[in-house]
Parts: sequence; structure tokens; C-alpha cells
Amino acid sequence: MIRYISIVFPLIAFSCEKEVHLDNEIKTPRITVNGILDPEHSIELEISESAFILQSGFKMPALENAKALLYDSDYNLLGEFEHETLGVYYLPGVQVVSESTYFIKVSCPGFNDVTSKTIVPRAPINVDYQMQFKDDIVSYQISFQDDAAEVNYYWVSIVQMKKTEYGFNGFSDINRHICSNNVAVENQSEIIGEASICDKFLFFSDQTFNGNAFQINFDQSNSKEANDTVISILNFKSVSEDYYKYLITREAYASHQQDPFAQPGQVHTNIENGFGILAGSNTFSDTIYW
Amino acid sequence: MKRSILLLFTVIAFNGFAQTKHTISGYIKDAETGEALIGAKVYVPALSVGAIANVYGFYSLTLPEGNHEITYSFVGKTPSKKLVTLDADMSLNIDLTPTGMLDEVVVTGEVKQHESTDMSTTDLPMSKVKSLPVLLGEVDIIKTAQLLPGISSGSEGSSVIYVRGGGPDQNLILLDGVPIYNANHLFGFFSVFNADAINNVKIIKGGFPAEYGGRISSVIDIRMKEGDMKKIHGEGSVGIISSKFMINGPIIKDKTSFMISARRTYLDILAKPFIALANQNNGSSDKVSGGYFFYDVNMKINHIINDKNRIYFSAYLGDDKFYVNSTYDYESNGKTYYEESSGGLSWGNKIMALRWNHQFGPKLFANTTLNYSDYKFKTGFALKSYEEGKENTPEQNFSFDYLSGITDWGGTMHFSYYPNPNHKIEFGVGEIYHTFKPGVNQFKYDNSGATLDTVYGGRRVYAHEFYGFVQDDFKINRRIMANVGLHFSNFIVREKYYNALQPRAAFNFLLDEKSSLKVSYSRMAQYLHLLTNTTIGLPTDLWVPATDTIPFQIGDQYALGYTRELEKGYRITTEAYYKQMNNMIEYKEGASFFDTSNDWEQLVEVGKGFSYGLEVLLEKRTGKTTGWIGYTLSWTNRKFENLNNGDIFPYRYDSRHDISVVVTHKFNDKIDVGLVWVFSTGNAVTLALQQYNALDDEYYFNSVVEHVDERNNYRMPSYHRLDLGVNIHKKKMGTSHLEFWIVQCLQSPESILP
Repeated sequence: MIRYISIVFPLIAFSCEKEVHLDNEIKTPRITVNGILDPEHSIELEISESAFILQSGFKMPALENAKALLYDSDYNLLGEFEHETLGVYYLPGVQVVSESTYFIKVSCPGFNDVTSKTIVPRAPINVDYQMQFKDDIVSYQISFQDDAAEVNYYWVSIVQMKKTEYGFNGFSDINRHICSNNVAVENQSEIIGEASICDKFLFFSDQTFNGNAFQINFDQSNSKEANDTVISILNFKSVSEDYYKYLITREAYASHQQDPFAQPGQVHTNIENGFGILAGSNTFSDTIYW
Repeated sequence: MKRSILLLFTVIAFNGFAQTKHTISGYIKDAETGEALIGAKVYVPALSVGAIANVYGFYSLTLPEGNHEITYSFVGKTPSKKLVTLDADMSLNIDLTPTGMLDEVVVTGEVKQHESTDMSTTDLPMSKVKSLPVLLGEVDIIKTAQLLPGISSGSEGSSVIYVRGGGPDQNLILLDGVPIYNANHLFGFFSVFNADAINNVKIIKGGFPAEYGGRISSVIDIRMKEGDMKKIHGEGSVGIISSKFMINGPIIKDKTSFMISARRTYLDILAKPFIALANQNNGSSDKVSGGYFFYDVNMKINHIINDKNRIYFSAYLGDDKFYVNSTYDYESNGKTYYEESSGGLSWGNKIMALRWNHQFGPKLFANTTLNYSDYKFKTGFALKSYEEGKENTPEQNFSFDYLSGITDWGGTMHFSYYPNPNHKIEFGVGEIYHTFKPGVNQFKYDNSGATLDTVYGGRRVYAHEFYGFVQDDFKINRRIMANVGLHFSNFIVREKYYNALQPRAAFNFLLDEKSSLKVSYSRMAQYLHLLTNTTIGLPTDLWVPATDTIPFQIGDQYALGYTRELEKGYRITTEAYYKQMNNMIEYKEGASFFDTSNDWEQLVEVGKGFSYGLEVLLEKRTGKTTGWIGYTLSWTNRKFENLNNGDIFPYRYDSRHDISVVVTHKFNDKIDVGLVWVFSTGNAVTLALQQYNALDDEYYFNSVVEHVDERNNYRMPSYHRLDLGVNIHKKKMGTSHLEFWIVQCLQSPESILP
């Protein structure tokens, strides 16, 4: 027996931690493209490169020598983006129109080309709104007609601003937080897994009111003080499905990012071979003086 | 269907009236201890008919009138031949004597795999469990089960099991017929089962008989020892981390017996001097103490009232406790103040079962059970500060506790009816009353007169689970056997009524005297879910019921197998299976079990699971060297509409290849060695591999997204481990155990480097 033990003994218990070396392919950076195509805004893309997960750095390097092209739904070239600064590219002289599909192609030396497409949705139909004051709450009632022909997604922000000497265009933010207890927004909260239905912007789908006239209320605390000149800027958008998925998944991702026990979340991307989001939106906007 | 039932009963009736027959019945026991010999074989060679003793050692065999030579046999016991003259029903209890210390293991008297309709089923011999290398001296049934094909541990060292791609919640673990909810000690490193107290373990991975229900992936039916009816004796051991003892014997000889076993770890006691030394040397008034321990106690009392009635009472009690305490004193305005804090967590099971065996006649055996099962988890912390001498009037007194658990009260009636040697009909009913306590927070605060005492969190959920079943294990002809049954269950929760009809069928086609082909189908329903996002079976895992919004789980499994007895004690078994699991739950993306702001139902998604594979088991069952080689080739996937973009993704424990080699060799009566080698394809884990800039908008600016391609997108490297153990038996000192561990390629995500 001693003989057997002496043979086995050199193999006596040890534990090891082996380093796992990942394939280069996994570590290779890819092109990241972010942009929103909206008829109310100029066409802008932010182009940067991704980085391997263990690389430190708050902001990924901007790609300043990328070539970005915009096509219409028939693959007719609409123009080439111009780099302005720090990876921000503009396409002057072109305006996107609602209910149209657009494609982009971005290439950059040292990277694989990336492509994406999005649709610019129809702007919200027959939008009307009313404002009411009760105690310290400002209530906004927004009504509109949902288009029955397609699944629609909406995005709302209401920014209270007051006149100041130093603010942008003479106005500064005093409150962006809005709340809603409408079931459409609650559905979004359930998807995210959050109980809160207050945020700096809210988004929802027409799942609960498809094809009908719909009214939704948003409450905001009244941040106006005596002698303030205050405005509310209402932005009510139709957004593309990809954009809605991106918003939902990013919200879920962000809300538990610091929790080590949280399940990993996937943020939706529609950039082929790369990362980011090419979103489509169409905005109804109004400024309310009060 | 009606026609089939009519035909079945016609056949049974015909068999019953064709000839004058009588029934011989009784109990088969160990002659030395009086323990029931579960699965002992009764056989009449002249007629080629037989029966198997049930879990209480009861058998019943109906034979034609006349003289018969009947053989009673069991593994490790000397077979007994009885010549009986059967001219009326008769009762015959049999005591089998051990074969004595043998130079080599001899297997006789067991039911051959190919002769039974049991499929995907393994009886785990306790002798084998005790002879294998073990972690820190703790013999563990569950860890031995993990070495069988189709069963994996998920992660190294864990006592959680994953059976044929199922989740850890889908295993029905029964201790003397009572479900155990959290079968782990020491954060999953040890199972709660003390091997010294266990008589028999049966593991079923598929082809489930209709008597079982409530879980969709496996049944682990563990039976405790009943206690020696002849003489008092015991055994004990001192291990690296724990000590244990077991004592059993008669209270009234051949009438009433008891068995009690207990074990306790002493990591906390061993650590005390070191902690005291550290406190002495830390140079401050800060004193810290802490520790961890677990204990468990198994007990059983078995009383024979008369030949037709006996009762059993069995109980299990176990707790784990982890605690940290600290004290700190300081001077202020010439006064001394003390600050005491404490925290920790504890969890444990309490199980009780009262069973009554009653023999209505030689052909009808009944078992009635009343049972209670309780699992509790508690964690919390407390802080108290007070001036010296004013401990009873603290300036600040604060505590927070989190409690969760599940309590069951249940009752079952199971009947076994043996109309003739070709049929064994079983039927029964059962009811479980569940009380779910899904996470309650208790907050107390007392600050110089200002007090707060509040409780908030998940509300208790009450549910009734009822079931009934009927099954017949029968011979269709000389070559074909079948076990066909139906299990019906329903579940009432929050005024929602669920029910499920679960057909079960297993067929065995004898190809020749040594081999058979088996096929089975089973549907199982499960009304419980386990909320977990850990991988090691932590006590924080929360059992929750199916509700009006979260449906119950359904599992369908098909299996095809071939088994053959080979020369020299070898046996090979192969099985292919396909399993679909519906209504499984997973946490939503981003959801966390620390999120107490939401009801748990809002944190989960409902989806499907699929698993299919091939298992091969080559066993050597006799000789000085025994053991097995198991191989599993499998694929396990999940599909959830709102996870992974709705695409199929691999289950975390999807393992393409699993190999286990288990060998024990007995050199002589004093020394035996055990060897275990396991190999497994690496787990699938979710890793973010790239990071990129997110879209800047009103809310997020300069934010970065860590990108996850797909759920479980990265495959960890393969893993293998070799364990060696040496057992040295000395008559006066008992058994000493030496162990060696050789681990290769044990990786964790933290070890990944660029």
C-alpha cells in the first residue's frame, strides 16, 4: 500500500486558476454609430470605435476619418456626411421626411464596414394638449389619434424652464421630471422591471389603445417661484421600433448597472457588424408660456 | 381508451379466476438489524414469476395452489430458499443474513435492469457512496449522484444538481416521502443528508412512475434507516470540519426500534482562538467575533403493532448559521459609550412524517402518511449604542431582518394491490397545503424614545396542491412489460385553479435473456418555481408558487434505452432522451433579487426549455474492482420571448460532453481506495466583451454600454478533476480516510485576461 501512496503522493492536492486568453476577434474594436433621423432636426451621426471590455476609459475614441453615406429606400445615395469635430458628422442640405426608410453605410480604415437602416415614422396625429394647475402640480393632458395601420411608439418630454440672464436662449431648466400613471406607461415599467413611472422622459407603445384616439396625462411638480417667467417645452415624438427597443433595453440596463446581482442586460442595436443605434423619430413640439 | 381499460381488467380477472390461487405475503428484513430490505427479490424458479419488496420491505406474490420453492434474495445477503405448501393465503416474513466480509463484492439477488420497466433509474448503493473520495471527509449522496450520466453539479463543489437540462428547482427530493426544499449546507457545498442515517437512495431521471409528481426533471427518493430491531449499536466519526454519530437499536426487541444521528461542524469553534488573538493584537477597542456552523439531526422510531400494522415517525432538523458580532467603546464628555452590532444569516429545514402501514389483506398494502415540512431563511443586522451602565435604556437601538420560507402540511394515502404475479397496481391520493412566505422585511428603530416597528414586503401566499394517481406495472407477455399510469394534480392559489392530467408509460421489450429495449414517455407538472440568480443554491433562493399571472411548469420527456448484462459483472446501459419544459421562469434582463421595490412576478419572464442527449453507463458490479464510466452527450437550450431578443440561447449548464470515471478497489479487509475522474465541457456564461458609447440624449450623456452579444455567449474552457481516496479500516479505530484532490482548469470569469 505504501508503494501505491508514494506513487500518488506527488499528485497531492493542488488547485489552480488558469488564465483564459480570449480570441483576438473578440477583442477587435468595431465601429459605433449613433444618430437620430428626425425631420425637425439636422442629420447628425456620432461615430466612434468600441473597445475591449477590460480596456479602461470613460469615452471610446471618436473616429474622425470615417466615411458615412446616407441612402434612401431605393439605395439612391443622398449624400456623404461631413466630419465636424470629435466624431460628430453632419449631412448638410438634406432633410429626412416622414414615413420613409433610410440606410447608412459607414466605413473607416482598419474596421469592418457597418450598415444600418431605420424608418422615420409619421408624426403624432391630431395632437392637442391642455394644461392644468392644482396645488403644486402641473398637469398636462395630451390627446392624439393613433394610426391603426401600424404599431406605433411614442416618446414624451416636458421641460420647465425659467427666464434667466445666463441660460440658453435666456432660459434655464428648472424641472424635467414627469410622471404618469397611465397603463400604457405602466406597461413600459413592467418591461423594465421598475416600479417607478416617473422619469425625465417617458415612452410607450400603442399596445393598449391601437388605432384609437388616446389621451394621456403627465404630472409635473410646479417649480415656478414668484416673479418667475416660466415656459414648458413639450416634445412629443413618434419613434421607430428600433429606437423604442433601444430605449427600453437601455433603461433596464442602466437601472441596475451598479447591482452586481442583477442579470446581464442586452442593449438593442441595429448596426450590422458594429454597435449603436440608428433611430428614427418625428417630433411634435410646442412651447407653452405661463 | 375505454376499450384498453376494459381489456386490461378482463386480462387481470381472467388471470385471477383461471385456477385456484393463493397469496403469500410478508416483510423481508435484514436478519441482523431488522431493517427493511428495499427492493429484495422474491422468485419462484419453477414458474419464472417473482415480486419485489417495496420501500417498507413488503412483498406479495400470488401463486397456484401447491408446493413451491421460493427464493428470497438481496444484494450482500445470503439467499434464502423456502419450500412452502400453498393451500391458503399465508404470511411469511423473511430475515436474510449477511454474506459476511467478502474479499470481493458479489452482487446477487438484485433485480436486473433489463427485467424491469424502470427506466432512467438508478439505485445508489450506500456502500458505494461511502467508499468514494469525499470533500473534507463528508460523505455526500448528492455528490455521488452527480457522477451519474445526465446529472451535473453545475459548478465545482456544489451540492445542487441539474438533471437532463432541468433547473435545480425541478428535482423532487424526498426524505422518507417528504419533500425537502433547500437540501444544502454550507452555501451549497454539502447536502443535508447524513449518509449514516440513510438506508436507500433511488434516483429517477425520466420514465417517471405515476406515483411521483410535483417536479418535472427528477425524483430523488431517499429512505432513512429504521433502526436495529435486535441490538443497540452505533457509529461515529471525527472529520476535518465536522463530527457525527449515529445510534440505533430496539426500544422493545423485535417490536420497536429507534435511530438517531447527528452531526455538527466546528469551524466556528476552531476559529475562536484565532479571532481572540486577532482582537488582542489589533490595538483598538474594536472587538470582532464571528463564525459559521451547521448541524443536522435525523431520527426515526419504528413500531410494529401487529402483523398487519406498523407505524413510523421520522424527523429531520437542520440549521446553518453564519454570524458576525462586533463591539466598540469610546469616551465622550467623560463618559464611556458602547456600540454593539451584529449581523448574519441562518437557514434550515424541519421535516416530520408519521406513517402508518396497513395490510388490508395479502394482496392489498396501504401506506398513509401525514407530513410537515418547513424551510426558513433569515438574515439581518442590529445596532445598539448605550452609555456605560445604561444598557437597558439604549440611546439607539436599530434592527433589520429579512425572512422568507415555505411551510407544507400534507397527507397521502398510497395503496399497492398485487392481483397476480403479472400485475402490480398502485393508486393513491395526496394533498399538500403550502404557505409561501416570499420575503418579509422587519424594521425596528428606537432612538431615545422615538420608536418605529414596522413590517413590509411580500405577502404570504396560501395554496392547495392535490393529486391522485393510478398505475399498473404488468407483463403483457413473456417478452414485453409495461408500466402505464396516470397522475392527476390540481393547484389552487389566489382563487386560480390549475389542473393537469399527466400520462406516464414505460415499456420494456426483452430482446434475449440479457438485454432489453426500453421506451418511455412521461408528462410532469410542477406548481412551484424557484427564484434564483445564483448558481450554487444559496439560501436566498426563493420558492414561489404558480400564480394567476405566472403559470405552472409542464415537462414532457421521451426516452429510448437499451441495457445489456455483460460477462464478469459488467453492464451497459444507453439512453437517448428528449425533454421539453414549458413555463419556466428566468429573471428579466437587468432584474435583481435585491430589488425589493417590485413584486417578484414583475421581475421574471416565462419561457421554454429544451434538452436532448445520449447517455452511456458502463458498470462493473462485481469483483475487487468495481465502479462505472458514464458519458453524456447533450444539448440544452432556453427560449424566452423577452430574453435574448426572443432567440434560442444555451442554458448556462449546457454541457456537450460529460464523462465520469468512478472506481473503487478493495485490496483487502483493511484497505480500499476510491478514484473519481470527471470531465466536463465548460459552462456557457454571459460576458460583455465590448464596450461602446451610447446615444447621447436628454437623460444619458457620455454613457458607455457594455455589450452582450447573446445570453450565455461565451463558453468556458473544459474542466476536469481527479479525486483519490484511501480508506483504512481498523477494527478498534473504525475507518480512517485520506483524500487527494487534483484539479485542472478550474476557471472563473474573473480569471479572464486580455
